[in-house]
Amino acid sequence: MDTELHFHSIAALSRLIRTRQLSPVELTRACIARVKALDGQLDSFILLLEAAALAEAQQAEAEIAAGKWRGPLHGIPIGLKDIYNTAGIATTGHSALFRDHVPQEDATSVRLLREAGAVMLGKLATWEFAIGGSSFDLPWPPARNPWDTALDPSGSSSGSGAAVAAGLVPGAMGSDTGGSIRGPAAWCGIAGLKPTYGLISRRGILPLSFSLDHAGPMCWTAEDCALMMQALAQHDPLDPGSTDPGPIDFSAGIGGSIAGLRIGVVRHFFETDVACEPEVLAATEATLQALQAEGAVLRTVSLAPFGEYNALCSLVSRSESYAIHENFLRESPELYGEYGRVRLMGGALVRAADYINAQRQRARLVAEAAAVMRDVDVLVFPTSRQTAGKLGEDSMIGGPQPFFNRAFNVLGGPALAVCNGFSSAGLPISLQIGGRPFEDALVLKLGDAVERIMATRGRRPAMAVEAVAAEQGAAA
Amino acid sequence: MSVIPFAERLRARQLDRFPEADRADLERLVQAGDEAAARIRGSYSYLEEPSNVFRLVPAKKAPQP
Repeated sequence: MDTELHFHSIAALSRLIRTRQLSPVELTRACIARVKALDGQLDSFILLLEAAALAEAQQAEAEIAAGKWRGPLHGIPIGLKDIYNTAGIATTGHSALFRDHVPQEDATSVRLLREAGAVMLGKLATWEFAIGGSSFDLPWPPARNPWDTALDPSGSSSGSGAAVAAGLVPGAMGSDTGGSIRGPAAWCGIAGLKPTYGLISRRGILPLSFSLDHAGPMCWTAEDCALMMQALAQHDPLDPGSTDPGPIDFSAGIGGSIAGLRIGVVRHFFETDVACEPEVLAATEATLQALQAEGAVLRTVSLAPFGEYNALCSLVSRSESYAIHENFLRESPELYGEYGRVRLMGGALVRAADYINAQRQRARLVAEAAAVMRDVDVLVFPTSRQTAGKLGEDSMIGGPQPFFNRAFNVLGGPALAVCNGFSSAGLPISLQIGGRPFEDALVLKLGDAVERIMATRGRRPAMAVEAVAAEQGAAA
Repeated sequence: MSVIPFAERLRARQLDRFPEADRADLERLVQAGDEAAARIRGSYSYLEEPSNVFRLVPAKKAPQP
């Protein structure tokens, strides 16, 4: 087998599978071998579903051979953050508290992926209940960053970011309450989409904060995120937040020109509100210039200060997550890791009036952003103010937050993190692209353009490249 | 608004039996939360309500026998 398959996008793998140049069984076996070879250094998998995945791949192969190709995800291995319920398979939330939790049903999004023919490769590491942090006091170790295993992949979809970047799996599901898809996408150098609120059902995903929770795809490219969105974005009456905007072609803009696209640059976020590393600023400016050279129209725009989004998101998520975990925290606080326990307990001391004020202020910010976005098509700013931090250095208690993600959790519109460059140390840098609600396809279009124009998709973590070279050497 | 000491707030929420080792981090987190709350506290017009949506959908009725 061509070991470089590990570096193929879902789009490329799908073309090979559809034309029967690649067998889903062969691909799944390659991914399993890759996990076994590399995950000892990454800890991105909590559970590898080897037998089940091979059975699903065999079924996909038989269907495709019979002329029943279901679409671009047919026969493609996918990893699931371990907060996605899987029928008959433990869904732990990376916590001792849910170590033996075996759901009866798949989450709606898992069911949709299965219906699209995807192969469920395994359950991936997460911060505990999508809030804890890169903790060493949980039943499983924290995932590590494949660009440097001493570094944090960020979270909470830490395993998803690490596994996709290292080529263990071509696509994964994450969740994003305050940036948990876009943070690890940024620090691991992949694409991660927080879709418009309500586009993907949260039914069957362990909840954290019901008015801020989003499910979404994490892949090597924006194009692959679009392919996953096509299978995932379906109205679900079992999720009260689910919406039905009608058919959306998420891939409509992939490969297209960005000439005339009006890009609002939220300069105050990264120039005055929060201090950024110089290399992040340089990559942002280089990207903006390149987009302008391609015909995009840049405008500087103003929103509320980033700190206001941060404050609001923090109050809402703490209050809602505490409400979800209160009984568990009272009855079994010792079953949480320290980070998770402390972060969840923080919500116990938020006043009800402050939570309600946060929701009121949210309505104001949504209206303000809608007014700004009448004159621009998308908003851009860096995803993170810095490259990946050291593993185990908790960045979420006190001090400035590393990410600009919370703005779009508050606004609810789509927000995509894409790799737009690398630091002098070889670590990925990421641009965030936000859009109007339900204009996810436009955000993906610009993300795809950024990846092409900045030529970032040809570079993989050294450990992943060395593993491929070693396999090729052994095969020769 | 009166400032209630952190320890008293913990007692009021029956959180004072949580591990002593957590206290310092929790206090920092709570302080950050108080600052966040102060930042968005202010006047909100009645005209802006309702900001929190309680939404009902029409009931599905059983067909008449």
